[in-house]
Amino acid sequence: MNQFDKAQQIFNDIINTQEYFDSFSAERVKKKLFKALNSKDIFLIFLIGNPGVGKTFMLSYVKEKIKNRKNIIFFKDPFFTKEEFFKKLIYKRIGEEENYLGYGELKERAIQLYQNIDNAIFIDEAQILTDEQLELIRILSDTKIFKFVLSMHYKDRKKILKSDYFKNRAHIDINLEPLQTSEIGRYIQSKLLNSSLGDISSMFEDRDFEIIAKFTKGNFRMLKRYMSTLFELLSYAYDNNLKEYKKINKKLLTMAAIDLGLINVK
Amino acid sequence: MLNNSFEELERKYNKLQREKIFKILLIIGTVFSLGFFVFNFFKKEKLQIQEKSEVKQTKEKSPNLELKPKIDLKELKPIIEEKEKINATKITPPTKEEEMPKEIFKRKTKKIQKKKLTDITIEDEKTLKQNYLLYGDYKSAISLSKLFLEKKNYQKAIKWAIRATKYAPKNDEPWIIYAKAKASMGQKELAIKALKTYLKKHKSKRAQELLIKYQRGKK
Repeated sequence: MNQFDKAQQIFNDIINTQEYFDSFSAERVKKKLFKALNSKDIFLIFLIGNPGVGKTFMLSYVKEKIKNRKNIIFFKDPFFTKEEFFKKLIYKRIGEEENYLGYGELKERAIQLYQNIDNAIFIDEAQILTDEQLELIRILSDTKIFKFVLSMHYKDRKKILKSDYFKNRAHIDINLEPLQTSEIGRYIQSKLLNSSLGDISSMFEDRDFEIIAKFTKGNFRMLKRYMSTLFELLSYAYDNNLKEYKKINKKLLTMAAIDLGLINVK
Repeated sequence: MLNNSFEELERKYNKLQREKIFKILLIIGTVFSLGFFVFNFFKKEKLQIQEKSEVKQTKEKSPNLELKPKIDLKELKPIIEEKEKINATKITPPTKEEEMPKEIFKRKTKKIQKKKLTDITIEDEKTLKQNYLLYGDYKSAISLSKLFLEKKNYQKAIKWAIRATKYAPKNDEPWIIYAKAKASMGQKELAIKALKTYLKKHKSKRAQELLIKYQRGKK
């Protein structure tokens, strides 16, 4: 295993809340989220951003940060029935499953359990919630017992907000923006340096980061995939002693983009 | 794991570069041809404006004849085109001077007799027109004027008489031809008026006699 293989591994798309990157947008979103979660008036929070921008990571990170102070229930996808929803809430609170209760009883039990408990329900990929689920969220948020954080894609936000369920409900929108070019450079450098890969880190120049930013458009998920591909190419060149690719150049950067389909070449 | 092999990616990259170069060349080519087209277009426009202004200038320069008939631009156009053609085919004389002959030879050719106006054929008419177009001289213009007067083509006789006046404004000949042509067309009053205009500034026995003749004839 060469140094480039190690570098490739650190850019695998795995959520590790220890690796929070303090981009300008992430810092702003974090601050707003904490404020909204502590507010006594807001029970609906929308975390909005394009796919791959880091919404799931942000929810995971916030959950990790406040899990000792608040009861956080995290639904990583919205594929649940109303019964399953309440069962999960109850299990989270008492650590036991209530399999013999009907829907009405489950609901009452959950409300009773969370009556005076500081809580927040995180639902990721909320843009695919059904009307029935949306109605349930509306009813529960109206009780002012449950606080919801719904993360969704930017383009779907308007559609959900315009629906009758949330039209007149007090809510807050928090936008998570893509990384800026300078942040991309800082992110790559910090990741490599934290893994003691300073030699590889010094191979990058500012213009390389500009090219990477152009290809990945500041998207976190794409950036990780791109870096992983780039290091795989470098590793191949290293193993096969290809002199042309000993340094990071435009050709190599473009080849990584071609491999990921960011540039369409037949 | 890569989606393509390293070699495949290299091939695709090279193809991408070729496409980029082709696009750049295409853009340069398009811009260049567009520029060339625009340049030619404006050049043509400029030439047309120049031609128009030249025609306008010649119009303005012609003597201030009260009875001047209008020169039809449509009629002038083929003449200009013909002039351009001749200019194009015109051969420039050799700059080097020919050597003088060592002996003096007697002239073998006969003296060329001056052609009478009645003997002038269509060929002569063409030659005269060509001469006029080439040199723009009085002689060709007045000869053409005389020729058309003889042929009883009075309109053209008038036209060429007017042109002849440009080159020799003091000369009475074009005025006399003009007057004769007008008189022949039954416009004796205009003929008298033209002769009087000429005689106001110049003296000419022939013009005077013709004027008297027309004035008597009118009575």
